[in-house]
Amino acid sequence: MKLTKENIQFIDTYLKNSNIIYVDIRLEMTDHIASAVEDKMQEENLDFYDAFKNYMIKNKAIILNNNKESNSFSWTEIKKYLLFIVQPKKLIFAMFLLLLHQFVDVNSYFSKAFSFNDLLLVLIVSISFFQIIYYFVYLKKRFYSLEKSGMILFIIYYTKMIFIPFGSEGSNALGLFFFYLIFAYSLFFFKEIRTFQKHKYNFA
Amino acid sequence: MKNSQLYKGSLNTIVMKLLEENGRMYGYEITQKVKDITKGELKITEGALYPALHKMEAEGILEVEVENVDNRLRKYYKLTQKGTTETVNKLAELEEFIKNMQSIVQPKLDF
Repeated sequence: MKLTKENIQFIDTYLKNSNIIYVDIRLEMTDHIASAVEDKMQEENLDFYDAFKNYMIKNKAIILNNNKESNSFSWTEIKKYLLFIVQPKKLIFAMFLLLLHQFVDVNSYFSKAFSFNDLLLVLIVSISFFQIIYYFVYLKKRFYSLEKSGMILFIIYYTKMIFIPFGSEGSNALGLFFFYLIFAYSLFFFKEIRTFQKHKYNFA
Repeated sequence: MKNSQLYKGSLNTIVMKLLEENGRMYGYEITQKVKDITKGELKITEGALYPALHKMEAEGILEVEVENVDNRLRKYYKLTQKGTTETVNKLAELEEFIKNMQSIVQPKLDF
């Protein structure tokens, strides 16, 4: 027996109230529970609410365990980013930056009032701002597949703060290296958006 | 998963083999298929399956198709080209492992 739209909505709301905030994680769990409940209704001749209740009593802990994934540190995502930044086309750009550093005095284009370090900060803030607008204004829903890449920008920001703290000019090879990391991250993030759009999660 | 320590390392290979045979599958279908094939002996838990699927997706071994089925969205997984090649290697590795385990557990004694 197939579940109705209302039944599906009931499962989705139940998961939302169980603190599963990401739509993409929830949709997969909803489908899993719905399929299991449909089987249970048929095999044990139960109505939707009894089948759902019986299933959740037995499986709630395991089902909600999936949500832990969204709270953990995604090494796979970091590995994906690291492989992305060493792709040949990206490395050609890195070489160009290195040559620029060798032959052009980058510092002369900046001042104490606006240093190269400030440019790095502006770039990080702009990307973060774009992400917030994209998640909360454009999509209006939260998706783990997109937000998990946010921690990479977070790591870049804090690493930059250690090596190039506030007040330093940052117009050296290290500054250019961070510029490359941030630039490559913006490309990486747009690639993630393209994959996301292909999945059409947004009609959820 | 029954005897989870023994099966844990083979979860990805099991999933890849099923996808190689069936084209594309969704999470619940995978758990049921494994249960059916092993006559209920091996049960893959949701807590182990989905993180494994997501990891393989991020690694480019699997790709995803999302479709509207029976009033809900369903995420189908299928092998990428890289995944298909990887499946051959993983299965060869697993066969080698089974062969070695068999030699240890049931050694053929030469008299």
